[in-house]
Amino acid sequence: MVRIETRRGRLIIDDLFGKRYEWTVEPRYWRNPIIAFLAWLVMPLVVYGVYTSAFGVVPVALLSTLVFANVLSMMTLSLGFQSIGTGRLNFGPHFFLALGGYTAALLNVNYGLNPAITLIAAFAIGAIVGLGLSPITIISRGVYFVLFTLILPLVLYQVAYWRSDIFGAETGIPGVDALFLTGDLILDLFLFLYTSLAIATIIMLIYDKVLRSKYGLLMGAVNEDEELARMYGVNAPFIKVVIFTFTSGAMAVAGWFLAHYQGSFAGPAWLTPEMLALILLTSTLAGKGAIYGQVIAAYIIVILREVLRSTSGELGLAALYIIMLVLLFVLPEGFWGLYRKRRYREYYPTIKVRKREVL
Amino acid sequence: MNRTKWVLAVVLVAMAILLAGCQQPTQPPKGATTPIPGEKEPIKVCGLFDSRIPVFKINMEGIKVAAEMINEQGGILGRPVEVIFEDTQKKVDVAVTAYRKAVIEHGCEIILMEGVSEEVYAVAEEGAKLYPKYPHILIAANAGMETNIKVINEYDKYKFYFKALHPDAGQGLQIAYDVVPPVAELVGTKKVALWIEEAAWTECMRKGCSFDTKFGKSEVKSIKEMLEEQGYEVVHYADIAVGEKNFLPYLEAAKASGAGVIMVVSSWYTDTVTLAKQWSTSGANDIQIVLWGGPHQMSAYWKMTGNAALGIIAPYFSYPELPPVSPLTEEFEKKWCAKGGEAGCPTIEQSTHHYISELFRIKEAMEKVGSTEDIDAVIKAMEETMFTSHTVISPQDCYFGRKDMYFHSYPWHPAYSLGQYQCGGKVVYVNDKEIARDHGYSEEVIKELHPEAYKNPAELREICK
Repeated sequence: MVRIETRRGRLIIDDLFGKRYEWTVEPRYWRNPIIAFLAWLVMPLVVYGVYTSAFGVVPVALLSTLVFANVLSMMTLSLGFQSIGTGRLNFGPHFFLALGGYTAALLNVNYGLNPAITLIAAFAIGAIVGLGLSPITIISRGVYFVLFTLILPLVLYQVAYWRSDIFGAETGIPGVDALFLTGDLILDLFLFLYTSLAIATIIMLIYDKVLRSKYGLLMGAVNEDEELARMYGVNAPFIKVVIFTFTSGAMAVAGWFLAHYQGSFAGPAWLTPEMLALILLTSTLAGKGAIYGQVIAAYIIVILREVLRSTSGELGLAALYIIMLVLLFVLPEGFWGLYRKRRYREYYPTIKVRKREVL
Repeated sequence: MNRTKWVLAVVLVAMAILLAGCQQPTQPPKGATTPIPGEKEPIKVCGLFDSRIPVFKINMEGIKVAAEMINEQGGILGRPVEVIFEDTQKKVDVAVTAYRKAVIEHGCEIILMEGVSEEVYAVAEEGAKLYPKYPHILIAANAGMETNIKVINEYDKYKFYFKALHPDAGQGLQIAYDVVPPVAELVGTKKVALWIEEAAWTECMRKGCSFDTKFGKSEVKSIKEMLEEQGYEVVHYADIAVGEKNFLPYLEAAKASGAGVIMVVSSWYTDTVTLAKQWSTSGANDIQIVLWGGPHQMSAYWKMTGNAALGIIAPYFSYPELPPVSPLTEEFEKKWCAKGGEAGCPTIEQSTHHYISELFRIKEAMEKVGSTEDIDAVIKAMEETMFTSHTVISPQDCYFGRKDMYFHSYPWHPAYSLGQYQCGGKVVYVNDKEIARDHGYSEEVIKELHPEAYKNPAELREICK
C-alpha cells in the first residue's frame, strides 16, 4: 500500500515484495536537484535553439564543448568521490582514462567487439587495475601517495611508446567504431552529448546515493580522521579499497567514451600534465566533497576554455589558467560553496572531532 | 553585496562578454537557402594550428602570405581567399571541436591542419561524416600511415583528405637510398651508425612493414636491412627514446664502433639542438652526423645550437639558400623575405612550404575544373594533375595520383635538400646531382648542388676558427 505521511513528509510503500520503503518527499530535499538536473538536460537544446536562430548556424563548437564537459565531469565526479572515501588526492586519474580508452580501442579494433562489450571491459580493466593498486591507499599517504599516482601515467606513456606496435605511441589506435553513425552529423553530436550526459548522471547519482547513505557517513569518517574512524570500528582499509576500485573503473569509462566518440585513441594525448591540471583544478574548484559541484565546475571551466580559445588566440590557455588560479583564491569552497552557504542542510555528513581543552 | 556575490557576478559578466565576443562572422552551411554564393564571396581557408608552437606559427604566417599572393593575382576564379585560424591547443578534443567549427560554422572549403597524428586521425573520422553535407578538402602536413590506407581502401569516404608529406613507410626508402648512400660516399665510408627515434611513425623503418591495400601489397624492409643489402655495414644501431636528452652514451658507442656516418632518423620529438651541442663536444665530433626531421630544417637552427651545428648535414628549406624548384619558390621568397625587412628572410620550415604550395595546387585545380564549389571534381583534378609549382618538391615527387601506397600523399622527399652547415651558418647543398636529376629537378636546381664543397666536420672546425 502506498501512502503519504504528511506530518513527516514521507512517501511510504508498506508492502512491496514483503518489504517496507519510505522516501522523503519534502520539496526542499528534491526540488533544487531536480531543477538543476532539468536545466542540465535542456541546456544543450536551448544553446542549439538560441544560437541557431540568432546566428543562422549550428553551434557545433559549443555542443562539442559540452560533450567534453560531460567527459570531464565523469573524471572529476569519480576523483572527488575517491578523495572523500580514501582521504587521498589521486594525481593519476588520467591514467585510468587512458586505460579505458586503450581497452576499448584494442578490443574493438583487434577483436571487433562492439561498444557495449568494450564498455564492460573498460570498466572491468579499470576496476581490476584499480583493485591491484588500491593497497597504496592503505600503505601510503602524503607525498608518497602523490608521487605514486603521479608516476603511473608516466609509466603508461612510456609503455605506449615502447610497444608502439600495440598502443600506436603518439599516433594511437585508429579505426575505433563510433557509438553513433546515423549519417546526420548534428543528430550524432546530440546523441554523443546525451549519452555522455547520461553516463555522467548515472555516475553522479550512484555517488550521491552512497554519500547520503550510512556508507557516506563512514567515508566521511575516514576522510576526517582515519585513525579515529578505525578506533570506532570503521573498516577503513576495506572502504578505501572498494572506493578506489570502483572509481578507477568509472574513470576508465570516460576513456571508453572518448575512444568510441573520436573513432581513435592515442594515450599520449591524454596522459599529459595539462590534462591532469585540468582535472585537478576542476575538482578543486568544484568544492570539497561537492558531487554536484563537479558537474558545475566542469561545465564552467570547459566553456570558459572554449570561449577563451575562440577569443584570445594564443593567450587563451594562459588566461584560462590565470582565471582558475584567481578563482582558487576567491572561492575557497569552490563553485558549490556559493550555493552551499545558503543551503546548509545539504552539507554532506562529516564528523567533527573537538579536542577537549585542558584546563 | 557580499564577496561571493561579487565574484559570481564578475565571473558571469566576464563570461557573457566573452561569449558575445566569440561569435565570429560565419557563413551558413552549404545547402542553406539564404545567401546565393556570388563570385565575390570569399573562399574560406581554415588553418587549425596551435599557435604557441613556433613551427606552427611559421606555418600560419606562410599561409597568410600565400593567401595574399593569391588575392593579388585576383583570387580563385574571382573569389578572394579569406584565412581563418582556429587554435587546436594541440589537443585531440579541441582539434575536433575546431574542425567542426571550421567546416560548419565558418563554412571553410579548405582546411589546412597541423601534422599531429593523433589529432589528424580523429579529425579524419569526423571529416568522413562531414563531407557528404559539407564538401571540403583537408590537408595535413603529417599523420600516420593509417590515414593513407584509409584513403586507398575507402576512397569515397576519405577522399577529401590529403597528406602533404611522404608516408612513414616511404621515408625509410628515401633514407636508405637517397640520404645515407650519397653522404657515405662523400665521407668515403661503408660503416654507418643508425639511430632511430622510437615512435609510431618510425615503426616501419625500425621493423619493416607490409600493407594490403586495394592497389596491392606494399612491402618495405627496415632501413637497416635496406642498407645492408646495399653493402653498408650498420656498425651501431640504437632506438632513441622520445624526449631523450643524453646522447653522449650513443655518441661514444658510435665512436667505438668505427662508424663513418651517424644517421639520426629524428623528428620534432627528438631534441636535435641538444644532440648537436653534445655531438660537437664529444669524441664523436669527427663523425659525419646526418639529421632527418626537426628544427635543423630552418635557418634558426644555427643560432639555436650556438653554432654547434657546424658540419651537420640535414634537409634544409630556408631562404635565401633554397634553390629555385619552381617559379613559385622565388615569388614566395620575395614576399616572405620582405616580411623580415633588414633582418633578412625569416626562418621557414618544410611543412610551411607544403601548406603554401597546396593552396596554390587547389587554386590550380579549381581553375582547371572551372568551379570553386564542385569539390569532388577539384579533388579529382588534384589527383590527376602534375603540379609544377611546388616551392620545394619536383612535380613527380609531389604527385597525388600514384596508384600505390603514396596515393594522396607525396611520393618522395626533396632529393636535393641535404644541406651542410658550414662557416658562419651558411648552408651548402651537398646532394648527389644524379639523384636529384632522376627525381625531375631542373638544371637550375642541380646548379645549386655542390657535393664537391662538402667538408668533414673536423676540417670545418679548423677552417672556421
